[in-house]
Amino acid sequence: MLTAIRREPAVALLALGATAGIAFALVYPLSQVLIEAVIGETGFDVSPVVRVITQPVPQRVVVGTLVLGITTAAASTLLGFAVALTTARATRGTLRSFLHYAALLPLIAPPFALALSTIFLFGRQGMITKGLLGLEISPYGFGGLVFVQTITFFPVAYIVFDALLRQLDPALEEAAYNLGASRGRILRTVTVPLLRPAFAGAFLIVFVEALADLGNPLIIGGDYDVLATSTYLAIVGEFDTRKAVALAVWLMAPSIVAYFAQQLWVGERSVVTVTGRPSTGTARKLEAGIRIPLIGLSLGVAALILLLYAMIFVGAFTKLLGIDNTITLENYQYVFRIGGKAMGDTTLLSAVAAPIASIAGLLIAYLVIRTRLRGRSAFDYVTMLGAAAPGIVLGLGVLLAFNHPPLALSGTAVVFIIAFVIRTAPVALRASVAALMQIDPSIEHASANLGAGAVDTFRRVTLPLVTVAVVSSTLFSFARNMTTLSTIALLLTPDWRIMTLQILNEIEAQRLGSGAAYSTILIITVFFSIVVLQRLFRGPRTATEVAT
Amino acid sequence: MKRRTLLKLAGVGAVAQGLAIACGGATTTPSAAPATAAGKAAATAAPTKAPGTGKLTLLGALVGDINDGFARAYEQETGVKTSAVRLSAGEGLAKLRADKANPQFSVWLGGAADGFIAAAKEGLLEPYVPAGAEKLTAAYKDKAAMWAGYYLGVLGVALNTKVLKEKNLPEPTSWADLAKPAYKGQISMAHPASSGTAYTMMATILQMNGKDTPDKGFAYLREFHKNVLQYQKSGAAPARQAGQGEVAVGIVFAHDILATIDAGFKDLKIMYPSEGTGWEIGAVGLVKGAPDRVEGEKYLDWMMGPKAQSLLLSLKAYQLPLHPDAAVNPATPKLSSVKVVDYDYVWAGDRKKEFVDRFSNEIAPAPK
Repeated sequence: MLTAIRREPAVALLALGATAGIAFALVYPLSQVLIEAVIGETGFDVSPVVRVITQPVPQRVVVGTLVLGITTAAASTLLGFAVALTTARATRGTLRSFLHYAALLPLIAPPFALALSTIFLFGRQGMITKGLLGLEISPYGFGGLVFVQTITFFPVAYIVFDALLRQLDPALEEAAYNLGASRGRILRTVTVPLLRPAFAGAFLIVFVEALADLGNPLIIGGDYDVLATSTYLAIVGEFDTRKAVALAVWLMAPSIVAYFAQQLWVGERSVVTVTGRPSTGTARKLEAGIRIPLIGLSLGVAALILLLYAMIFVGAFTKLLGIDNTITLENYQYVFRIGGKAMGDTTLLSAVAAPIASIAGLLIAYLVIRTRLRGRSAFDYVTMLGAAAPGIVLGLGVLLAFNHPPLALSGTAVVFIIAFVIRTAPVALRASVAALMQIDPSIEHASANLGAGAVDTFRRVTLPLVTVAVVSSTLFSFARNMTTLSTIALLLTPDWRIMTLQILNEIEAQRLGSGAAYSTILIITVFFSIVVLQRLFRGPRTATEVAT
Repeated sequence: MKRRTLLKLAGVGAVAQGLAIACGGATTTPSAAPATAAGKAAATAAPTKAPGTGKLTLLGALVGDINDGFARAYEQETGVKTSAVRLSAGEGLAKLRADKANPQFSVWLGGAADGFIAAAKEGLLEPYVPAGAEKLTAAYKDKAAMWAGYYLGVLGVALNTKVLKEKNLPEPTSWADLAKPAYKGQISMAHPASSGTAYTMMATILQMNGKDTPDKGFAYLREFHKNVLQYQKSGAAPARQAGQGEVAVGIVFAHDILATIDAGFKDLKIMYPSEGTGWEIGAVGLVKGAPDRVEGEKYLDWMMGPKAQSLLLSLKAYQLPLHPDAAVNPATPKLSSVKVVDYDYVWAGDRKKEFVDRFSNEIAPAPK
């Protein structure tokens, strides 16, 4: 039983490895910058951190950031749930695939692309708001930010729900149905409660990501100031690392609080749905009264996403979208002439880092959920810091940590991979935690009782059951690595070219067309990787399939 | 140890060459003082430098093509393998600081001189007098030879004539006009904390209103702020926002406005405020403790020459080259054709932190 697992030397080894890995790749770099927040010239001094919350201007920014984070996280979680419910319980076949891939599309958002598309469509000169409807709406500010951030981040919530809904044993819903409950009632009293870890996980991860989001507020934030921008400006503009770190502390604090809140909310409640007992039912479609509004909503969201992406593609093939709409291939000629190396480098680095991040996430999740190690939850929340820290602070920490002996790695591919891994492992961790919590430990116990060691059990029983989560998070990590900007801006070297920096460069040079052309290449690369990988690991694997 | 000695020797040779060319009229460089005797001896004996590594890395602040253009041209001419990477001026400085223990770049190719002033204060740059720097006016180079200027840029105002017409707004002609309530929400500029362009505008306003009475300048900025839609990160972004018609007015360097018009934003035109405008010096310097030091010095020599600076024309950049013999684009604004204020960038650089802090706390968050 559990004691058997606990006595496994493999578990101890894993715990040791995880500790070393987290200390080396995350804690050491972060400490390089965070220490500055509390150690002043005269020793221990937390006054810069305190000043942030006592002075009216930063205080206002802290509150504004929280309000935005909560709003975006709530909107994204609900939207992610609604769309996942549509693809899992309301649609089949082509429509399902269409909605599924449309919902995944914003995961591949090159920096600034969605915010710029939003301005093209819904800005003051927007093709829809002004051109079609004759309205003059200004998207700059809170409303525009919530809109763009929700579109950008709801797919993260969608992934979490999608993986779990597909794994949910239909027999539970079936039983309720046979007892006479309506589909709506089942949704409310069976499905949603079973998805508690998914709601908590999705809200948490979107909240954390929205807080750390830099690209959207930079383009469409208007007067609405957020901590991520203030931190960025403090480092690149005022060269004031102490101030930046003081701000970053306040950016990370709410993420940590949210983490503990979700722990409390999910608690020790059992949400096991993968039991190993053969389940015969297939999930039934929802009733028309719920199904039709859901499909309508999802189609609307999908259409909006496609429209935003269409703008990027149209922009890539025109001289200057909105001003000179002549069709041209110049942008691509230019991009392929100067950008080939960046495309290769970025894809390679991202592809190497993605599986490392998702396996690291899975192993840590395993330690946290399946072992009784003392202090195991520390693995969980320390890993989460990688997502909570502002990208520029994380990048700075990695650079400072690895640019001198004994670890003079700056300038090599290793620093990029470290940055990518610590940035995306938290999402892999959340997905794996949610997946593991749904698997009845007795399946693993059965394996252990039959004489298999922890390693064998993990490899032959647990791993196949969490494949969906691992594949999803690998894809997520790959997409995020390909599109991240602030984390790696300072890591840049003469030897490795990064596409997002090239895109930024084009946008700053006012060449929106070539910026768009780069973005389309990035989108296509990532999208095809997603499709191929998803086909390889097709569909959910149930406990029964694994058993046979 | 060995490497150190080599570097020192190279440094002496370099200073010597600088002095040799400078002969009589050059400003004295403090760093050169101890090496003078040796330098004079070396100058007559060896006009050519020690061989370099054949490799060079540039950290550039100018947008894509221009940066790459310099690197490509230099590589073609000299055979030195040159790679250029671009980060905005602020990001570049942050990068140099973080890289201090293990520098990745040999040369920092700016970008406005105020970033170099800040970098020099932190000991991130290596003094070097490039060949040809003696021809520069004292105002265009650092006294301690930490950097030398190669272009001049004039601050301008981008106007979207179509939007102004649509909104029935008169074309503004002065800074005073831009603070009028009629332009509410119609102005875009960058944040002075992240953008040299925006800080140049701010410092121009403060100097125009009296260097000793910054309150007067801030009073203007408070009014002007009410018209600003959003403070952008990058200095050139307001030109795009104005070009797309999201706002009517963008505060940008003239060379960026001209490049933006070239990129196809045809509704834009350029305006120079009647009270006078500010300007910047684009600088180049050696990174301290950098790899390929000798190659870096050779590059700086090249950068001061008319051939390199004429590239600005062929790369369709509208910055004004500082070398008198460099080819100049006829559209490039010159100090003689534009009314400029008596811009003191040393004063502006010295007080930058104070002013930017004040802007961040008092102006940017103020209600509109």
